[in-house]
Amino acid sequence: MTDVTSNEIVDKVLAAFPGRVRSHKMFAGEPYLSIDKDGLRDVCLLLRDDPDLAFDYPVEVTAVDYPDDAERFEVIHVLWSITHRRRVVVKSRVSEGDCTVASVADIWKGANFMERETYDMYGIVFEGHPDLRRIMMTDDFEGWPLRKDFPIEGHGWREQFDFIPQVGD
Amino acid sequence: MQTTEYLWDPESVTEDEELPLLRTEKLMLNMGPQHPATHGVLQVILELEGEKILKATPYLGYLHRGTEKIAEAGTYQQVIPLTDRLDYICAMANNWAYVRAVEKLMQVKVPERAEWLRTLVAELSRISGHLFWLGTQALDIGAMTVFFYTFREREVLLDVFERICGARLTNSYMRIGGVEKDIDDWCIEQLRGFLETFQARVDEYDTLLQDNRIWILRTKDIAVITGEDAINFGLSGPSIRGSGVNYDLRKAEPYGYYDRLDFEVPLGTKGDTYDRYYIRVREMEQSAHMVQQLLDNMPEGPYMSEDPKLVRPDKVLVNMSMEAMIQHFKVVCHGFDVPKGETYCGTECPKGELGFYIVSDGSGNPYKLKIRAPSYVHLGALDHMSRGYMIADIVTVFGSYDVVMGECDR
Repeated sequence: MTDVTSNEIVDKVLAAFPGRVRSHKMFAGEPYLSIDKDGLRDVCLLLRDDPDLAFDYPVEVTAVDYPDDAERFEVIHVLWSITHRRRVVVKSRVSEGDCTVASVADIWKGANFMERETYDMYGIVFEGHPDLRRIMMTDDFEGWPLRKDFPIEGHGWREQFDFIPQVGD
Repeated sequence: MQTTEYLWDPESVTEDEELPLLRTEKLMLNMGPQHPATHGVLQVILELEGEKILKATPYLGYLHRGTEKIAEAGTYQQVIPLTDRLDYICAMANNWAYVRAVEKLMQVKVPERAEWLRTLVAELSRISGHLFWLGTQALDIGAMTVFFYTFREREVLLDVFERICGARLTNSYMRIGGVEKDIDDWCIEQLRGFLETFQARVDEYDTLLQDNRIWILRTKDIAVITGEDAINFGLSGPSIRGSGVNYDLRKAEPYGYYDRLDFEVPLGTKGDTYDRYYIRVREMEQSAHMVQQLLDNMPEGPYMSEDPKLVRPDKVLVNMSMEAMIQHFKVVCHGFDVPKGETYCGTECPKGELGFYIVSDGSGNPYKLKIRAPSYVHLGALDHMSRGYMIADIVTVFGSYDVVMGECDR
């Protein structure tokens, strides 16, 4: 584990979009960039098209829910470069009131399904996505299962039986 | 019956030609979710023109069990059995992918012998997974014999797994910080016997399939994907290497024992189903070669980390000393705290890159655990890869990804 706080990937993004990068850190030799969500597409295009970066492989798109924060969701893009054999993680914050972020499905086609899953699980709308539908849950499912306020125990059929002791009896 | 649409404009036909009365109409066909060739429960809505596929829309989620939500409620060790149920054909590799991610987040050093054992069982599970794939893919296409042969060999490996950890499929063999149990001489003997005959067995599969006329007709030039598209779609494992892209995490980011092993990464040229088949067979040979090297260079030493935070104490000690009992209680009930942070860790599993994105808030439960399943990402390319081929090819297309729906739907 090295103690460097920056590397050439971070430097390059910082040089191109100085106002967009909120913070950055290194963990286990991999950079983690926190950026403004308005700059997501620009940063992604730079990461893919710059020959020194060449992050041509979409690894993962997902989100994390922090219910107490003002900007509740953190959308995460993990990218890999086939040529340079390294990884970068791009994070952008989305608030609950304006739960939208730009889609990158046209930059990496593989992001299509990953964004659909993130929408399905968190309700984050990816603007410009060609086919944003639920993918794991049924179309008529209500609620966003991976949000922290989604109940783990719901009102189920077990509650109809009076011989099963209920909570609070 | 009403004629809706003509293949060509009837106005342009001259007087002396006969007017064709071919009716063309798009046909929607539902395939699955209960279908023997979908390797689980997958529904595909096909848009057809005659026998040609215009569009294939996969509908997933029939096997969704909410693994990621369950994981948030349990301790870090309690996730290990859940990973068995992802890709239940090669559970050992999934276990490793998960424990590696936690170890990366905690920066745990794993003993040499544990790394050796993990690499050994991961390569064995790669062989068993590819054997399973070869059998079922041949069965899907119509060659039944291969299935019986590959399962004969797979049985030997499953017996070894059963001896190592007591389970044939849902192994739960790995622990955070090492492995559950050491390997014994019986297993080593079995494996040496297996390796002696394995090359001849692979040659046997080759005689059955490699130059088989039907096999070639059904797989050559079917579901072609270029290297560029394969990268853009995020394919991994044999599916991307079939298109000639050298992407193998065992070489790109060596982990376990792989930096000390001599092996090659087989690459395809065309990116068709035949290439993906060919690569898997060659990968089995490479894995057998690796197992041979591992058996010849066996390190001695502990197979589990000695960090008291991670491991349960010796049972004899628990009965005798108070401290050991407290430690036992703490590890079982509370688990262990993982430092605040987040990381992504990808592992080269038989199906492709299985990754875990873990966010820890410093407590004993994962705050967020995301599974990057190769099968799920591969199905994103199903539409692209099946367009323009015949309806009979749809089975070979998603067969050639080596899809397991348990992993895809999680």
